Amino acid sequence: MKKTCCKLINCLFLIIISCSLMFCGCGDEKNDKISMLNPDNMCNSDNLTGLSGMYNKEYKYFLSPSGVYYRLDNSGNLTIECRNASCEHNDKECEAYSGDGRYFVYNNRMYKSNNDMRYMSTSTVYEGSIIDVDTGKKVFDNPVPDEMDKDTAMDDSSMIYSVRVLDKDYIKVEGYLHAYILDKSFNIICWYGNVGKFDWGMIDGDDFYYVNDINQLTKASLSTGELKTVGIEEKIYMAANDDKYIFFSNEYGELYKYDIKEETSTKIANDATMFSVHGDYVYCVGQATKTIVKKDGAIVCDYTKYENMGADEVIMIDGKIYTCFDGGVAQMDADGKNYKEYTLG
Amino acid sequence: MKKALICIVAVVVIGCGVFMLKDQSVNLNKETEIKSTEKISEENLTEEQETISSKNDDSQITVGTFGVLKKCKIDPETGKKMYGTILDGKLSYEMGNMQIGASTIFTLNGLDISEIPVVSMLLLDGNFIPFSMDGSSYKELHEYTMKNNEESFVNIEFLPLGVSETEEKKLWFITIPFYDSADVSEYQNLVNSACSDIQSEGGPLKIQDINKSDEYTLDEDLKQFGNYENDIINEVNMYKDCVIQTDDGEVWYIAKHDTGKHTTLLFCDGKRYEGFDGTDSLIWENDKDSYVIKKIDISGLSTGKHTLFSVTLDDNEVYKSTNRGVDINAE
Repeated sequence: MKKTCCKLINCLFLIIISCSLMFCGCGDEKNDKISMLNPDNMCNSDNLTGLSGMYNKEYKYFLSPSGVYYRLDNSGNLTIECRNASCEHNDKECEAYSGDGRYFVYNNRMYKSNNDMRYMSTSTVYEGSIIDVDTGKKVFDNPVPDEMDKDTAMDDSSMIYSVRVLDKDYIKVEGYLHAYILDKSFNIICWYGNVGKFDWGMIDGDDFYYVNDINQLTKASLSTGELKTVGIEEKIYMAANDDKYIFFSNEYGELYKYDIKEETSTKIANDATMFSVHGDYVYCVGQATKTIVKKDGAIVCDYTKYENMGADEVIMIDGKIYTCFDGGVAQMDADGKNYKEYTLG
Repeated sequence: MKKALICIVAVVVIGCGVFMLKDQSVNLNKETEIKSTEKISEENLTEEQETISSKNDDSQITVGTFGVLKKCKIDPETGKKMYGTILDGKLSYEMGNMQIGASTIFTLNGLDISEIPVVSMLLLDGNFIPFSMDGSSYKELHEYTMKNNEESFVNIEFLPLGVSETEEKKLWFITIPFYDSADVSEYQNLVNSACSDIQSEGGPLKIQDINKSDEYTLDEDLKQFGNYENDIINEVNMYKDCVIQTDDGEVWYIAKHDTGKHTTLLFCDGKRYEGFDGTDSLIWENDKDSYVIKKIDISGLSTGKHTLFSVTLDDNEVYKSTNRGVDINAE
């Protein structure tokens, strides 16, 4: 009797174990993250105006204008990175939806920038944060700097406007009236308050370059925090860079390249108000045309006819140029050849 | 037995604990309503975009207007004019005549209109500035025709009379459609405006003292207008400015704007009209709850039908009353 009772209890024990395992979700597929959130072998897209995509050997992920991530496989199939077939992909319930946040990979970990909205009695407050996707832990919350003057601080908030991975050692987080340079552990290196129109920035040795709020190229020392204006006569509309030059457009859409070492500027193109730099080329859009120019200004091609291909917002992956638009992704070779579009299946 | 029961309880407790942890996991996809372009659009102070979208379920009418000023320079290599964005929202004046570009577009969808008669004007610190448009003669008002839904880009050359070296003044380029028509529908009562601050780096340019009226009444109600009270309130709620003719033939300007200083310009039949005490400009200041009330002098109008409207400038906006047809009877 005693043995039978023990056997029954053991069976009950096994049943309970099985139920508990089911309860805790082990082996449940829905608990696995979507493929985009696996940081292994993932790279941020080469976009000098922001983080709008990632890629690995299998997939390319693009952030669409509607705030939803698309996935393009090597066979040319474009889908929304959401596993729920009945999802409308337009709110936080969607796995692929990021709203105004961005996913990015940094030092082999996946992060997401995020803004939470809180309703106060007379206003709405936005609170920014960067979250480690794997642990769910907040690694940075973009506080209004303590050293900011009180009047300015009243107009500022912790809302995150943009995140830019500068290199493996530094990351920039930009808010409304301030920006931080952080180290790889998200510790604050320095901050500045005169944030410009666009969130471009670059590291060169101990210096961080950016365009300030009165359209001047500014250099910040990462070791001392000292700010210095770079001696460029032109008022700068927007900027991008490669290893040697800072490219900038002025108010008239004239495109210049500034040699960082020689501290000299050379005009290379007209009608290039907005642009980006990838590889050997500059992708420009002016009043009515989109062109690809070499870095000495020689025109490679006019690609105005490709309506869904951008200029300043294009990204480069494996030598090809991409723009994500609502419902699809446009692709062309770096020199503008072989244009094609992928549409959502 | 006792040990088995303990194992069972332990498993159940552990299972429940894991379940609770799953419920408390961080929700990374939180809803936000940030306008990602907000910071960028705030920067360009010269871009004046006024979009009025009205949808009539029956006719699907949508209207809008957009205007922007551009700075201008001569390309030393080609000698051609180049136009650029006014960064920092401020034009700098040095000497002589200056040139700018102005882009204007009216979009009237769902209305059978292909050409739009317009009048354009340039004001600095609320004063009319004579200007040349695309090389024309200098005038304070330029009348021409624009095509519906097609951008008009013009070169403007002018001497910025009244520009100061010590403070920024406001330069407005205003374009009004259907300016000479009494029969203007809600969808046609648009005003296009583009502005920039302007300051001199080469010394001020004085302007002759310009006569403006500063006599007006402020009142919190409109009972003096009897049966017209509700109509005026409706119109002021819609347009902020109102010009109205009462049964006794009198014509009035009534408005309700945000607190502050305002300049109101008066037009009759598409021309400037000196109906404010011998001037066409009224300077006034109000608090938030009061209407400004000013009787318009119509003694200068010939017998018959005329069309009047007002245009009011404040720091950042331009408002226009609807066109009002008035009857002037012989006495």
